[in-house]
Amino acid sequence: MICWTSFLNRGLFLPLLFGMLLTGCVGKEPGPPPLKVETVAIAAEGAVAKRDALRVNCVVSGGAGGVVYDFRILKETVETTVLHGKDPALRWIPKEPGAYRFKVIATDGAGTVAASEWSDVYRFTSPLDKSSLYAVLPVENLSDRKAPLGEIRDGLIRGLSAAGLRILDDEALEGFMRKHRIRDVGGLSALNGEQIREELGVDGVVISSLETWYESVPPRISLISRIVATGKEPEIVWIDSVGLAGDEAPGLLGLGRINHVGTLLDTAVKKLVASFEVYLAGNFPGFRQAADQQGVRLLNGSAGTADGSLGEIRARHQPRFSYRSPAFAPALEYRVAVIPFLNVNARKHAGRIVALHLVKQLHRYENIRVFEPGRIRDILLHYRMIMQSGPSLAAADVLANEKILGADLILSGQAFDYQDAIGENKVDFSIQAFAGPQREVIWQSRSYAQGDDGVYFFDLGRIPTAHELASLMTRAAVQRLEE
Amino acid sequence: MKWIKKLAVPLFCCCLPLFLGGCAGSTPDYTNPQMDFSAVRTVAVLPFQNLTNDDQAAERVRDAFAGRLLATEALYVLPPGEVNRGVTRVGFRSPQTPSVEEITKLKSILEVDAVITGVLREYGSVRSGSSEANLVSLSVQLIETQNGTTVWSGSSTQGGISQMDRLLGSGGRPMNDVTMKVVNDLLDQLFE
Repeated sequence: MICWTSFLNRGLFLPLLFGMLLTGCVGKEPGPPPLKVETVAIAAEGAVAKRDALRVNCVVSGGAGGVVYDFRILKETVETTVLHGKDPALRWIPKEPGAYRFKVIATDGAGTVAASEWSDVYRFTSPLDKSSLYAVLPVENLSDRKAPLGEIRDGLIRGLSAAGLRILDDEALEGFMRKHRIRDVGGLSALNGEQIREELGVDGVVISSLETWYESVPPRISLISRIVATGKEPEIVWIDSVGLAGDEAPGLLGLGRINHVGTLLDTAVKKLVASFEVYLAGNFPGFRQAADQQGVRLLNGSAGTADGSLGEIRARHQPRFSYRSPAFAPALEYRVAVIPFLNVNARKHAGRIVALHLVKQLHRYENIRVFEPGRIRDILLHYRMIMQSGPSLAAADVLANEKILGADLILSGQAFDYQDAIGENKVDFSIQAFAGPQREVIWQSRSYAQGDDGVYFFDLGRIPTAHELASLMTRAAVQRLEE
Repeated sequence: MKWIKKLAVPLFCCCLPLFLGGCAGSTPDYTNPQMDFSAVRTVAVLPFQNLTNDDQAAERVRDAFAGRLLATEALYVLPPGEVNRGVTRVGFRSPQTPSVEEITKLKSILEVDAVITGVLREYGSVRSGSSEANLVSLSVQLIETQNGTTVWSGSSTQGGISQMDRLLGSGGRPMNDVTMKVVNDLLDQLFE
């Protein structure tokens, strides 16, 4: 039997230990130096305060194999990945005003991770403020009936002026519209966006669409407004909507009923102006994707919007079914083109109304940039694209082309029902999204609901307007797409 | 109480087939046993033939069917705009009832493995006495584009007035819900 003591006694242990020590001293191929982030250079392109681009360049040393860069941005404690790939440079234009900090996380082929410190704070202000000059376009009528559009526009101008905004006078605007033969008041094309800035010095254009107008008791009114920053590439900076019905809060003995549509109009304008003021103050609610893949975070609380659709979404407003491609990464940044929906058996303009609701809900996500609908309309007309059954891949190719629009996602759909007349509200639509470069469908959903769904006692839980119903349903669909 | 005991066995025998029938799922009308369905990856849903009074009903049902089929993630369904482009380029005489030549031509343009055609037979409300309910009836066919042969066919009818509706006077389900039941039933038949 060999025991440890006998093993040592035989004098084998010491030579063995000596051999092991020598082996450790044998020359070994020196490995690459560890991965290290040397510098993160941040440079502004143009005036940062006016939201021009920032260029972030990362220089690393060491590391094995190819390095992958993860560009992170911090805003109000929410960290977001804006670019993930092999490119060490990032060109980034903030969508929303605010204070941002930057960081780069580099990972080499061996899985070694090196991260930079958070950068200094970079503050971005809105391209528009109270000193900017605004042009209020005539109101677009999507209500399918006659409405006092001039009166509504005057109400908007009064409200915006009362908030301290500078409004372009009517004569100059009419002269400009006549000169450039602008007939469509539902959007701003790239050319008109540039012309109105150069010729009249207008910074922002207020575009309003009247969705519903009923004067008979109980009256109803719905308005969708947006403000577009002018320039070569007009961009939506704020969009909100409001839908009111005279009988939505009748109260005790019906004392809370509103029987005059003018009262509703005043309330609607006040809500929209208040919402824009919240935006100018930098407190407009928005959703921001978290870098930890834990979904989105709502910034600035759920109050502050005119439509009040940021509360809890009920199951009955969720899409009845949906499909999201596994290849779609919701946390990345996307440029989205929303095409007017195809109207199938719904009331006139229903397709445009649903598309505007979708634009509004998408715009609230910081990682999504929605193209101004006027630009898309202009391109569709220019290329004579008639879409009898929605967009084809050829149409999507045009919108995805970097030289034309450069959309990453093209959203369209079909509106099957939109009942906002007196009686029960009903909205029924489907949404479809193409990934432009990949040329495939990445999202499909179908939503339908009625205003009295789930209502059993005393109208509790009733949705009083089709506008609110559409707002909730589009928000639920976008939430499912993005989360 | 003897009569109850006497009636119990015949009553049970009569009700048993009804219970068993309720447990059975609907079966497809036709499935080609030679067909390898795993080879079908991409399909185009052609416009459905509409035999109802509602002009747009077929488009509504087609959208629900194509969307739900895509949501199964078993097949990739071409968007309707792209299908329309293919239909226009082939020059279909009637896209609802395509010929073999048209289907094989469509394959080369859209690169689809199969097309789905359908016939919407009923879409509306039916009335019986004081009861009224929505009814949808649809049949669909899967045609592979290599040879233009039908490899699967199924049909479903949902909604209508049940005994419960007659007894309680309820008005049935909304049309969209009935449509979804038909679509789900057909997809169950396709993937069973």
